[in-house]
Amino acid sequence: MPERAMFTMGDIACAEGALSAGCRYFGGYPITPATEIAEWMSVRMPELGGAYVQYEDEIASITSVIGASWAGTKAMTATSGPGASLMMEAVGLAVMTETPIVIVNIMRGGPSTGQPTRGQQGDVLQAKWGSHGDYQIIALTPASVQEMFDLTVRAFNLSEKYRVPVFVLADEIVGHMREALVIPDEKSLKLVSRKMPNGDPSEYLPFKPDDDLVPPMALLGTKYQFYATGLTHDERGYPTDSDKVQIELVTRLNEKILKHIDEITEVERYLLDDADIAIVAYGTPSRSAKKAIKDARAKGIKAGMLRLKTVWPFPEETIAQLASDVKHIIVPEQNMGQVYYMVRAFAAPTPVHLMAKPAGTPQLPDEILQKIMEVHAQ
Amino acid sequence: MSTVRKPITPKPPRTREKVLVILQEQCKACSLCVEFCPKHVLCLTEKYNRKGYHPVTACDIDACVNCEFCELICPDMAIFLVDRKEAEAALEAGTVEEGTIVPEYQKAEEKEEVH
Amino acid sequence: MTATADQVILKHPMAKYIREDRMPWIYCPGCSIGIVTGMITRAIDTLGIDFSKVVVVSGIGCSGRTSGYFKTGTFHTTHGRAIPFATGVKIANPDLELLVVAGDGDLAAIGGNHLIHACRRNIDMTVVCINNFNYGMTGGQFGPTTEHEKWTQTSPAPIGNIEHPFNLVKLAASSGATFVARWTAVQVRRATKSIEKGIKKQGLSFIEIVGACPTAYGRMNRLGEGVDMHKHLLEVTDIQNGLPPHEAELDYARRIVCGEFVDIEKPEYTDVLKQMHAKVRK
Repeated sequence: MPERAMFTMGDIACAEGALSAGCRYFGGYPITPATEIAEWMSVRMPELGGAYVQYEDEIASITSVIGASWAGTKAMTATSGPGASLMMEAVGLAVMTETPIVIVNIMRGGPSTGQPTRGQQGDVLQAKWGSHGDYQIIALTPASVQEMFDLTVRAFNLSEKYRVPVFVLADEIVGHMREALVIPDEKSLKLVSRKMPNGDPSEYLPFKPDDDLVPPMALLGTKYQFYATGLTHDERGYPTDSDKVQIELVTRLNEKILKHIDEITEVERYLLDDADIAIVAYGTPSRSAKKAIKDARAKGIKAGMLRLKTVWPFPEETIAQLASDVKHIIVPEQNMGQVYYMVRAFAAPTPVHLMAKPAGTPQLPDEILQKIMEVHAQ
Repeated sequence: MSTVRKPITPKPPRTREKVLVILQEQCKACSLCVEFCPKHVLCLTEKYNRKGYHPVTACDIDACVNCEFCELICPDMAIFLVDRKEAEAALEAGTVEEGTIVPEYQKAEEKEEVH
Repeated sequence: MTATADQVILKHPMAKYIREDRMPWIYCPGCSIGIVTGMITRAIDTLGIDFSKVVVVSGIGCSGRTSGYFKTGTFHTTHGRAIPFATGVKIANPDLELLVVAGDGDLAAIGGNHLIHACRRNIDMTVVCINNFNYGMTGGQFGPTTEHEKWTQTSPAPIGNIEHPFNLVKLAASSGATFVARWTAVQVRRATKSIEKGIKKQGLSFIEIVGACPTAYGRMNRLGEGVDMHKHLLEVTDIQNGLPPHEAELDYARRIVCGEFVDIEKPEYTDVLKQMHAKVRK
């Protein structure tokens, strides 16, 4: 399909991004504010020969997405806070069995039922820590309709490359705002698919990693007949009680992502070269921050922004480097402080100031400008 | 005068085309085969296998009619029937694994102690 | 003496379907799950289908361990979620044969919602539910199929279980399954035949196999060893093929009605999906 343009909302851009990335299975459940993704998929999937399946609950949705991935189809689900909470056990299963899947969380007011129609950024730590045990996932944070498309494509690529669940964490504002979207010609898109084994099936070890710590992935129902389980397993996939295997497996599942943090991390640097005060933000507050920085610059204050397009794995080195280049960091978040604590830990001893606003309206440019001026006066 | 008479053509003598094989190291002495064998062929031995169970053997192998129910009811695939020729070939070649017995061909002196 | 390929090693006829490097199985002596594992191998063998196209999915529990023993693509999912996993696999690749093996607790408690919706959707898969009336793996707590007043780890004497059980045959049938059967672990041949029919049939086939858990449920309720429990199952079985499912009672002490109760035709989910989607693709 040639390049085309639409004026549409973030949710739909996300769905189109998934379809452009080759996603042909959507297992979902309606939930405000992600319902539009499901509805769009229910129209588009039949057109493209894929499947839109609506399940009885989010747990069935995500488990079926894991199943579809193992049958060879790029698969995703979309939900919000309450659904993401339900899906956590399955995230653990996907991590342990190294299944490529994409989970879109259009974050809304929480905790619990919260404010379904108002955006927030309260599920960021949950994406990494929500399931039990020690593991790493990847989480991307778009801040515009175009990025909803681009980062969803990237999410699929990353999930296939590293055989890991990838979250697309957008707040409801980005999900429901309408902006211009350019969908590139599919031939121009760089798409990644999981690497598959090509040796003798009888010698196949399903969880034996290559040098990049990612094992080639065979599909269910082929001559590579393997057993996969959520239990701790050795290279053959067989469950074991051994301490040695447990340590090796958990270490590898974490290292698999951390080793490649430089390729995974994506940030946008805005007027940071000579900045004294840096704003570290993601999603909707970063849009307000841009305006605030322009205003601050007009007043002669050297402000800049590091916008995170990935929050997990957390870009520790990038933050540490930034902290050594500036005098203050401000973190505006639509929550009580989540990424803030990570920034504070790695920016120390540079002071980090939190602008917490666990509400549907983000920090306005004037509010951020106010904070910049306060901090500048210190 | 009775209307019942003996059949003129006698039934051919029953031959066992298959013989019993018992993987004694895999047996867990659950006794399902012993209980459900319609001809009471099987019984538990007194010896212990490596896991500490008294494995099954055939006390009366000649009564076996190849119904295969022991093979069906065993929860551990430890007892089954194979073609007579196959068993003979394996025994001759000496490839029968340790802990496996073929009761059909066990000599009288070698018969195990029974429970 | 190591045998070479042309020398005969005496192997179980169904060993080719099993991961022999994982023998012996973890089941307790006298546990019915081992019998069901054998039934499945025989059903596959008789049908003569390409085993690499069969995917066995299981849940958590003793019955959940079965998937690990089959030498094909198998998956051990989280508790109660075998059915949605299998649904995802089937929809993504409708050419595969899906077999779900799970216990009564896994399928009817935490997985209950998924079970009834799969029956409603009539997605093509065969669900083998091994019903031993308790949560065996965790030590024998009561579950959705434990009978009233029975003693378990969490419904101890003198009170026993204050709840009443599901009748899984009724549940599956009323939810829309197109093939529903119940056998005990002792009716090996008939149950194997039902599993074969279930696999061959396009649609949701639900086969309940009533079995024994001598280590937990059997011991706590003084039902005897594995042999005694299986003998009892044989005694109280009443075969009534074709009986309406709501009459298929299960009273462990008195009468377990076995047979094939439902065998109807209904459009299957992936067929309907393909047909209806074709409308848009024209």
